[in-house]
Amino acid sequence: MTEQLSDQDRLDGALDRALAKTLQGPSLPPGFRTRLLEAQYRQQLGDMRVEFVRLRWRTLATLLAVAFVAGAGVATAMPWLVETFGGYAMYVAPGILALVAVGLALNAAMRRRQITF
Amino acid sequence: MPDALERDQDIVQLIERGDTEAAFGRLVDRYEQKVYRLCCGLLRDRVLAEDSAQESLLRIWKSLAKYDARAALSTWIYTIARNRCLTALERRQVGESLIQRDAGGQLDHAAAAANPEPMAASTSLRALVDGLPERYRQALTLFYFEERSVGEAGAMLGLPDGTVKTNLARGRALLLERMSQLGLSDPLLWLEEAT
Repeated sequence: MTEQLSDQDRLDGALDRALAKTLQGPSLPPGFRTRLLEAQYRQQLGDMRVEFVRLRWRTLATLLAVAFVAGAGVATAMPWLVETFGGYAMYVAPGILALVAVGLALNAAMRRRQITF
Repeated sequence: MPDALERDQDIVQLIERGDTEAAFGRLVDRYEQKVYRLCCGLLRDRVLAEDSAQESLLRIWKSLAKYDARAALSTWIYTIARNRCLTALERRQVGESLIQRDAGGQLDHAAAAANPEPMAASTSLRALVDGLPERYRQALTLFYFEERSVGEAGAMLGLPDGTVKTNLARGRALLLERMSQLGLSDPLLWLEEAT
């Protein structure tokens, strides 16, 4: 019985050693890390591109919305402007709009500086 | 030996501090080899395994900020890698062809192992392991890939340690059974030759 157990143990030990030798873990292929970093860089570029396109769409939508609101505002306020400023109303309205536009441009410039990838 | 949670505490702390780049660098140093080996063990195709390992690491990098430390980092990493491998298998419809290849492959493996003399013993043993049912083959392969660690193989396969131990024992028993079926009257001699 003891001898049988011992044979079994020897067989198990031999199988263990043979499997350890045969099933050695594969090493990483050469250049694996470099390719990973390149893929990471490509992914970052892709994300930046997507973000950039999204930003442009948002800018366009904002511009359209501002133009619409400005037009509606001027149309609504025109009677009051004419009443208050008389003949100068034609200059005051574009002046106010120009100030708003400069404010928006400054805001956009500041936001652009904040965007870092 | 520290458990999985303790071992990766440094990486988890970096993630919590928001330093995902440093965390990812350390994670790659520690896990790139293991992820690649897991992919090799599951896919049995080195090229596909490399692609899947790269995709897994990229996905990990993108999701690193979302890691919530509910599971051990290693478990989370291996789950992502395993899912990538499954996707790779599905994408290329290898699932079906694997079954076919296994059916044919087992015959090839048996034939290759049946005549061990002309072939190196280790090659024949490899063929026998390749011919084992998938769950036994995976358990054996990953166990020896990770220097005989049941815990690591279990984490890689998403299985409890007990199941891995059972699969290892059954796989080894099946290997010995197939050796004797192949007429290896004294497998011990043959195994000693393989070492």
